[in-house]
Amino acid sequence: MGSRKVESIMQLFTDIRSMACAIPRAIQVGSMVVAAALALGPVARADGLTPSGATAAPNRSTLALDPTTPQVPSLPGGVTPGFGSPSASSQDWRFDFHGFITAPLNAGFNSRPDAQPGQSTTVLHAPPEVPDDFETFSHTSVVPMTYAQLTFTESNDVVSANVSVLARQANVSESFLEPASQEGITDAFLSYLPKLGPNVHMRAIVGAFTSRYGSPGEYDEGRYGTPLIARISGAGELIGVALPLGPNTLMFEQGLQGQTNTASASITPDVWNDFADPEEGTTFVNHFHAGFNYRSWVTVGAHFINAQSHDDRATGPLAPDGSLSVLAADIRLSMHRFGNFYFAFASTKASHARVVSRIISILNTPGGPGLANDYMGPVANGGDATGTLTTGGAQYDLSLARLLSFPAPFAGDGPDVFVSVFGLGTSVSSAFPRQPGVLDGVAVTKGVYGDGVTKIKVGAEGTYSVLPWLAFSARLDRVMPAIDDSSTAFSVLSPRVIFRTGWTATDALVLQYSHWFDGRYTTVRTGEPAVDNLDVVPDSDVLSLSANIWW
Amino acid sequence: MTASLQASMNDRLSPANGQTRLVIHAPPQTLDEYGSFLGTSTMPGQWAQLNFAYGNRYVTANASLTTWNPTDASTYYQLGSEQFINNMSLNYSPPPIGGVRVHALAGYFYNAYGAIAQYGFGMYTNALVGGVRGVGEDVIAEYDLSDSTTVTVEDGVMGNRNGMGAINIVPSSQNGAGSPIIWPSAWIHHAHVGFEERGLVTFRAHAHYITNWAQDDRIQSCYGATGSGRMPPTPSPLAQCVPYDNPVTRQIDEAYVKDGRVQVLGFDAAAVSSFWGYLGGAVSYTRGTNAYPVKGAVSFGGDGETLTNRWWGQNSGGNGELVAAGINYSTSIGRMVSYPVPFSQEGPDLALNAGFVFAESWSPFGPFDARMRYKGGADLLYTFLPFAGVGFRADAVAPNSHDALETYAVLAPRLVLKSDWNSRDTITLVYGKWFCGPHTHPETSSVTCGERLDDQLFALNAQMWW
Repeated sequence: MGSRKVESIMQLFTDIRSMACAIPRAIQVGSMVVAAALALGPVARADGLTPSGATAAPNRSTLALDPTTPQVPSLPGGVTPGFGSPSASSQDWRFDFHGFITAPLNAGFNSRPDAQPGQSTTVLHAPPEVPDDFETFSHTSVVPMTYAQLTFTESNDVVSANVSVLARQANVSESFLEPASQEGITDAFLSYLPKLGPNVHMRAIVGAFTSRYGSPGEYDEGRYGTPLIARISGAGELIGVALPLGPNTLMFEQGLQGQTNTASASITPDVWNDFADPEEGTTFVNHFHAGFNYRSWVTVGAHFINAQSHDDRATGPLAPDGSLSVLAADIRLSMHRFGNFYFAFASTKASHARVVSRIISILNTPGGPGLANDYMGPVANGGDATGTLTTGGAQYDLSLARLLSFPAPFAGDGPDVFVSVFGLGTSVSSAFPRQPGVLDGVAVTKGVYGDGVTKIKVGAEGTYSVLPWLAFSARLDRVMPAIDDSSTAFSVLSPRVIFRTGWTATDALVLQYSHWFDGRYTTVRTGEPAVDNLDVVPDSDVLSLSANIWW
Repeated sequence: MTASLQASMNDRLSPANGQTRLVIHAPPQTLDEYGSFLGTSTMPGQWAQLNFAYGNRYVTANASLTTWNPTDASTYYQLGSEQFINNMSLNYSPPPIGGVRVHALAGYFYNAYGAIAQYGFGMYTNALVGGVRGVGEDVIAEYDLSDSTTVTVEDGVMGNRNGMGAINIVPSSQNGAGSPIIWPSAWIHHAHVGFEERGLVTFRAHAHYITNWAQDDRIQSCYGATGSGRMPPTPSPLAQCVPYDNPVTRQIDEAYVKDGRVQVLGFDAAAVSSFWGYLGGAVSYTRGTNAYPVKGAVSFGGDGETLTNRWWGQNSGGNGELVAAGINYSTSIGRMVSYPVPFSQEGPDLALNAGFVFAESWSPFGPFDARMRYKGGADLLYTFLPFAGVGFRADAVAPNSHDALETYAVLAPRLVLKSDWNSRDTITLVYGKWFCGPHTHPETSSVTCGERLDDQLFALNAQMWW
């Protein structure tokens, strides 16, 4: 019945096309619309399919388009989705809802040296004024940061649609509004898993999404929350192929991502637009990766990432185009009861990368300007992000219960001691000479940006799960923004208590105290946009209560 | 969700050629300000909230997406009107310990206290005691003294959502800052105790204590410019910062910012009868000390900024006192008539809701000192068909005991349509008429009803909850 209907409709379209040859253009268009509307009705009612194969829209009781219909034109090829109606193969589809929430109450403690009547000597700061700016090398992730991500997925066994809503602040009505912290729908992409047979596994991602390379953690960005090679956030594609070779696997990956908007010259950088930068040009990132997995124990990878900006609106008539390239290698040892080890080495070469936009991020710094401001020499002082960043980092995680219970498997449902050691270092070679840190006209530090600066940070963390609902943990970090200037270095000691609903619960309520052992000129960033402020004495203590859950 | 087509009407004072005498405004320019004492809830507003929850019997993750201005209906993009992820929290319900039932929240959330109606604040929007909003924790413990008696204890600590704004942020509507003040990070501690006796008539009573304070040096004008910061090895005279007061902000001296505090003591009680309906009452006492920049807790009179501007005067510096009291009664004639048979609401009904609120403030600022304000109103809704009802609401408001000419009244008949007797959806067509006094004006403006303030309103509102 349905196929006869389709045939009759296709015949009707053929008749209309032949008639259209003999009538004026305006009438032709009108006839097509009316005929198509008339034709689609019976077919939709009969089998739920449009000629394009999409499902039909629900029955209409209004002359208007249904308000829930997306406000977009027909898709390329004239396909009109029957939005809101079930798929012809609806039994194959499923809806998933996943998310991650970290909601911390943070309080930084400091003292007021010149307290007047009505003013307390102890002052409380939120957010704490400590050297933990996310974009800088000093970032340790010790102070919990607000983060909420809700991910909605509709999928079958071949394709999935993924949409994520993300926020870095909740309920912005308080204090002052930071619109950029409410990112709204931050990811929207399709993920394909085509069935190519047993010897080829392929995954393709198309849309707007983030790719990260060099993640030290087994399932996350590691203790520093910093991909060691690069983070690429943009619209584009990513294709990965895995070829099983007996117990081993050969992997190849290629991606191309670009940005969806660019700041015009008339826009004023401000908090509300996340400091849009008209001098950042349109940037595209192409990246290739190859890897080899040996018997699920060892994975070695090689990475090449290239970001290019050829945009006359940003460079003007004289300035050179900017580029940023990363050549990297990493190794991950999944040693089962002996834990997980990860090491990465990356060489980032920037050439006039001031115009390379923030769709690429190296060590959490946004684009070429971030690379300049946080490593190679600030843009405000004339830096144009030309130089090289040589980076190495590692992390090792070990569960003692898993080690000692061998050969019996340990599923995390009992007491355990979990330890991690981690570190990250980078050396800066830049066309911008190193400049000292200045306080009131006096050079007080050797400087932490520019040519010749080497930065290192190391840390260790141990967690003792005592009871299903209770664990104790402590973390120690040492950060040297310039290895040859201890006055800017600092250490952080963070004991904590963790409450949860079970041994393997996916929720954690963390009560943490952190104490900073600061150098004489340990520097925090203040203001919007945040810049180093040597005037400010950092908070030495932070108390935090953070609620975490993931599903 | 609630969505409204709103229009208020007025006469153009001197229409020229091509101009009508009748002018129509959206959003309405009436006295009905949200959160203000002058508000009478006559005008339905806009709000959409989608709650997402995921969890097990012990813990649930909650996140809500909200907006007070759906984008499609707006003519320009108001930053902040789309709040996206507004709240997110973990709700814990562990097994009872020794008969004590514990519930806990952690994360970003909002709690309100002093509700005097069964499902909200009664005739008017402001909580008689107050609310807390921010990030932190809240623990509630319940214990049954007997089969019919329960005591409740609650305690919570909260902080600001984004704390102190960066000192160099230029205030604008784009970042929600209406004044050059940079708000300090502020903190809240609140404790509550409650009692409930269940029977033919159920009695509830709760006592509340909320304190909201700030001790943040960064709001001081010389912070971080070596006025109170780090000194170089060889300081020069140029390093010294001279504190200054911004004359635009009369509420605060930026050269000398004292720690601020808002404290609230409150009490509420209710009697619930399956025959008589719901009677609730509450009283609260709010005291502010240098409270202008303090944010977080929302008392009956608002946060520190609102208390200063609307209750104690800009020159008070946020110092003053406020007492508020209210009573609300709601009942259903259908329930009374069918008593003792429970009324299923599957039939015609006449519902009554009536309330009265009184407030008095004391302040160093003369015009606001010993100023009494009161308002009262009643609402009748007659549902005569499964899909239709008519309602009528009347309010009288006396905003200022020092000037009786500010007193005004509002009448608002309405037609209510819905899909069934017990449906969760309503379509409401409202007409509102303000009868203003000669001196009636909004809290934040001296414009009177006779000038640019509209005194008539039409609204078509759609509501649904699930």
